[in-house]
Amino acid sequence: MIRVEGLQFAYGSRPILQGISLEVVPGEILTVLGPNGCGKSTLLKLLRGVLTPAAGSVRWQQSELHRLARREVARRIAVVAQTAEVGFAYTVRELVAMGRYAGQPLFGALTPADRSLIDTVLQTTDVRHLADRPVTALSGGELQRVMLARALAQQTPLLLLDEATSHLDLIHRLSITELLLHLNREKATTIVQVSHDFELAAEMSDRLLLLAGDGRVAALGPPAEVLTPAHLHAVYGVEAEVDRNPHSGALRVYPLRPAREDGSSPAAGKVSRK
Amino acid sequence: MFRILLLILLLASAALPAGAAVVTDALGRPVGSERPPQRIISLVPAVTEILFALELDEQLIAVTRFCTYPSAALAKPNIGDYASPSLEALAALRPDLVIMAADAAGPELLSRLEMLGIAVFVAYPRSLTGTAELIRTLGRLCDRQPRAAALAAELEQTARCARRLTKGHQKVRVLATVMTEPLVVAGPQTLLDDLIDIAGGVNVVGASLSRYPTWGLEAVLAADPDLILVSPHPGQEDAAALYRNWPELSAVRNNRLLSVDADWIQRPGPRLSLGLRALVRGLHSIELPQPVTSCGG
Amino acid sequence: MRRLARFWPFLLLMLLGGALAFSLSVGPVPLGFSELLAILRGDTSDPTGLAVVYRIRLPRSLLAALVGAALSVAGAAFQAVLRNPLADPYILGVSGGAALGAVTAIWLGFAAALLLPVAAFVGALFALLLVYWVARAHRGSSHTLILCGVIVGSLASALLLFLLWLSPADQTRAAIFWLTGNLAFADYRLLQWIAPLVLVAFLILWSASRSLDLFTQGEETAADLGLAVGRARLLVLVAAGAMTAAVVAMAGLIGFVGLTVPHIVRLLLGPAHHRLLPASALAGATFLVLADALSRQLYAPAEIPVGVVTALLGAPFFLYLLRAQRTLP
Repeated sequence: MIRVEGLQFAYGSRPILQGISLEVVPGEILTVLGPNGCGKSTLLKLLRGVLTPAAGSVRWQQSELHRLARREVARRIAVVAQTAEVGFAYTVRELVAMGRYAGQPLFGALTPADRSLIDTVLQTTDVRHLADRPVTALSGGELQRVMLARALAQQTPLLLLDEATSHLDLIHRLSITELLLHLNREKATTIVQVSHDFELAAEMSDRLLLLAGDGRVAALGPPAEVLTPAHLHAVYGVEAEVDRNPHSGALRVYPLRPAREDGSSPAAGKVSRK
Repeated sequence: MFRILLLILLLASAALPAGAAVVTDALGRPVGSERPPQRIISLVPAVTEILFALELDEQLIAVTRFCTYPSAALAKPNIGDYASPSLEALAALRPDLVIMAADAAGPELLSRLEMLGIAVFVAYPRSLTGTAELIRTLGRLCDRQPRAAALAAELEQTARCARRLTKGHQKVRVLATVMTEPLVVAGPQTLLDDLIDIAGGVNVVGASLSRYPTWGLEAVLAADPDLILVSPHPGQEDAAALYRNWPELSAVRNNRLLSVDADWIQRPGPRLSLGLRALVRGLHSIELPQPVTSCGG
Repeated sequence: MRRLARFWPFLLLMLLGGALAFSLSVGPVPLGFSELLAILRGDTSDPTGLAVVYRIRLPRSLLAALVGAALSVAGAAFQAVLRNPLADPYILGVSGGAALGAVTAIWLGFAAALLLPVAAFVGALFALLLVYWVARAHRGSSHTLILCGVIVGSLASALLLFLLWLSPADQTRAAIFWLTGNLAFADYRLLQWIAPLVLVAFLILWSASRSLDLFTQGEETAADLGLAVGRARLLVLVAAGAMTAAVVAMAGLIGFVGLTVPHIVRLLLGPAHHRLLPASALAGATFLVLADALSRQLYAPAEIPVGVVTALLGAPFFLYLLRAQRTLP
């Protein structure tokens, strides 16, 4: 689906991502993990062509993504980001209709097909009852569902989520996760997401990508192969234990203490990973 | 007010050397000195004209860039704008009297000049009589009383003559245009209003928010004055051209657009007599006698 | 409030019609309603009445409507594309550029009535393009645009003050009065030129309604939703800027309309631009026609500056709506 080869990226002289190669496989859920500032969001921006690689390439089939017209990208890739605030009081339905922009002719209006699609995604994301409410009056969880509905209205094979749920309450996070799994299974939607939640990521993902603080790939593969004490030590500088829930078989990560590096205090080691 | 009067009395009763005069300016402030001022700066174009007419051109050391008459004024050092002159240039000239206008320059300028220890006289004439008074006051202050008295008397005689000769004539309803973009006209309590009255006319502009209100052309159509006074300034569109597009106006149909040099009727100075002559001629086709004393009265 | 959504075009057209009728019927020349109708039907021979209606009130009302509509539409577009509720049509240096252009023309002695608007228009477009050209080096983000707009505006004001300082007093006064906004110089010849320009710019903006909707979501999200942000922004800035420049050239700087009318309409009808733009055009036209009529009528025969009336009418209404909005569901 997307092939990344030898990708490098830097802001000014500060390298963010180095030597990244991977392929997004159709139908998978791939979760990007890593410490703060390791370039997870930057990677997602490169995957959707918003940023231009310094070296290497990010391709959708034969085309480099940053060279594709934004309309073309928006027909292939939809994005849900962390939503801080919405300034303009669009209704939920109007906001979701924005997802149809790339699918419509430039000066066209919504077709009946568009409208029924919008109804469907409102239903899917369980916000249909809010359809005529202004988005400024929604709670954080409701708003994030609406944003997901808008992304779904784009009808793309690939969905990118940039910490889309990390600021939500547990219950909203779980319900959106369920929705994503459902989409993945029923519609074969490919999902690439950035997350901080090891266990949820391990639970729902086919593969994990663990980025190190210097922007290199530390590990890429099935959750059980990525979430190992050795990788967590190398990337986060913590001593951790990993086991499986005896009932569900899910991976569980127990961070124990900051790893002691030679001559450095635990506190300093922790801070230096920032 | 009482305290000011008291102060004036006190000052007046004090033993003063010969040639000294204390006068009261437009704000009721006493202004005076032990000897007539020798270094005068005028911030008022009309006052510049008065000072030249009083043969004070040697004492006048600086003027504004708007002081364009007489032509000798153009040769004087110029200290900029009348509202915000260069204080540094002004102070460097070491004036012993600065004359400013109450409407053009704000109280800030006055207090800053006072802080610099410079004597300031504030002028604010809004009528012909006020102008004559200003001339006399400046004459007293600057030791030019006989000449000032003659100048003021000539103004007043011209006015009396104008009133006498136009008496019994039908009053002419006049609109005085100050500028065209936008259309600003002269209302009551303005020099123009006073001159129109003296010349046997009636100003069609009534009391309003502003002494110089902005009018639309429709207001002009509604008032339909007998005569429209235009006083073109160089560099501005000619007001007469604006009105000529409106044959619905009686004044236009009857060809009664009167053009008088703005400086003759808008500057409260000695040339007001010229303006008044032009007005009487335009309103009533009457020529005031020359010299005006032959009018009698 | 959202129930308005269904019949707003009808309502706003009625209001505009009412405002125009009011504006045509008030003024220092007393004209009764029947006389007015007779004049409009053409069966009268009263030359003053004809002149008052056709040469004074009608062009002036039409100019007020055009200016009000253009400023409101441009304000709505700038607020969306810059994602800034404080944006008004003058934000990107358009006002400063127009003023500088006009005053330069006055200073150079071109007092001809038709040349002033042309100079103002050229000045405004020049300022806008300068702002855009500088901001483009930073990918033209809205912060950079606003900052450049403020700087270019200040530069223009400084040059303006310098020119005014150089000019003789009478020219200065004319320039300053021109800058405070004035609808008195309505002229069919100018209207003929400006009205099509404003109409074309409006149609461009209206057809870009969905781009404007996307801009409100932030430029990154807009790009993710498929908007070619750079090109769309240039289109909107040029259309809204040219529109503003055209009306500033005709009527000087009239404040408050472009800032508040879009906000008021948004509070009543929601922010979707396919509705907001035409509704702002109608509401802005109504608002300025009414404000102009009042500015002529309140202290007739004297006129008060129309900018004073727009602020006195608009600000309390806007504050009331903001306050009331809190209690709405």
